[in-house]
Amino acid sequence: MALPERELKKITADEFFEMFPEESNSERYELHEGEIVAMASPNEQHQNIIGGAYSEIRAFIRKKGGKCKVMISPFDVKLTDTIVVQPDVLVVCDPSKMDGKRCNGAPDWVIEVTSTNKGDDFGKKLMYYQENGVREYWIVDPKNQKTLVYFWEKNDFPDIYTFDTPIPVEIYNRELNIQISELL
Amino acid sequence: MALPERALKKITADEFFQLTEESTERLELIDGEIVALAAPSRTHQNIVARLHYTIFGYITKNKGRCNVMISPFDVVLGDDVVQPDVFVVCNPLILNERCCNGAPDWVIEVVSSNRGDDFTKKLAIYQDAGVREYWIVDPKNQKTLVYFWEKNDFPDIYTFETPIPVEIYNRELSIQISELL
Repeated sequence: MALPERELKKITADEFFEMFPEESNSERYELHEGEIVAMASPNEQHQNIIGGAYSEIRAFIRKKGGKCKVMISPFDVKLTDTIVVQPDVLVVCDPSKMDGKRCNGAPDWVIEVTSTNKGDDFGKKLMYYQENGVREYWIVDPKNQKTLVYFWEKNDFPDIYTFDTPIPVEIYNRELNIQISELL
Repeated sequence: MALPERALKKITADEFFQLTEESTERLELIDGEIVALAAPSRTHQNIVARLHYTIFGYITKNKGRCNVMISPFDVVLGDDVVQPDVFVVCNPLILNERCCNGAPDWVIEVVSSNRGDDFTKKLAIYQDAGVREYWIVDPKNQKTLVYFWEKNDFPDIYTFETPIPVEIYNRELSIQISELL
């Protein structure tokens, strides 16, 4: 359920954070080019995939003693002055981007699991992430049982993996693999 | 080669047409900013020309009412003005001498130097505007990314050696890119 478009004037990220301070925030909102967008509540499968991916990534980072942090939604990422998003799963390797409240700037890796706002992940958010310097972007699509994987550092052209195939994580030099069917 | 960002204030499609009326360059207007398109390569031109030829042949043979067009020809989508490499328009009411005013049914971009745009910004513009089918033909990767938004947000990938079925024509037409090279 998105708020009625065009009824609100465009606002900045700072105004957005003032309108929705974290303690008051029972609903999830994003800011897309100055416009407030409400996020639908996710379903069980969506949450299983997110939780499963988070656990695998966290275990990998701990085992390797890496400096990256993995976070799970709802957590604000301020990409620009007019774009604030809440990726389902994000990995941030530059600690200076984290200020305790949010991530300021592009995460290294973003995973979105499609739900009702489907089209956004494949279009608008794809653009936001690529333009603002996200290195790796996965769109996990339970309906199609496939994942679309972008690693922009190497190639603009994506790869497609079925849920039964292990997906190598490029930012970790393919040392970590995640098979979505094992998270379900 | 894009014009320096932020040097220009954002302009509308109407202002764009006024400003560029005399221009011989290929220009697009994306998010209010004028973007110059690089001259395409030989491979790019071969693919574009032969795609047009193949689609034109199919439409003529079937006495179809859709128009297949080739760049440079302006397509106005909201506040953006783009010049897709090849596109098919089935509603004659949105076509006039100067431009196509609204979303084509099918757009094909052949990737060249402005690489990233076709995969992200233009993808978002086309999807948002209501383009039904979108192909990104990528000679560097020898693959084509195919979107048919009417049916699915998730794309398909075809190698150049595989025939690609055209969804807006109910898969009655298939095009194998390697045969166009």
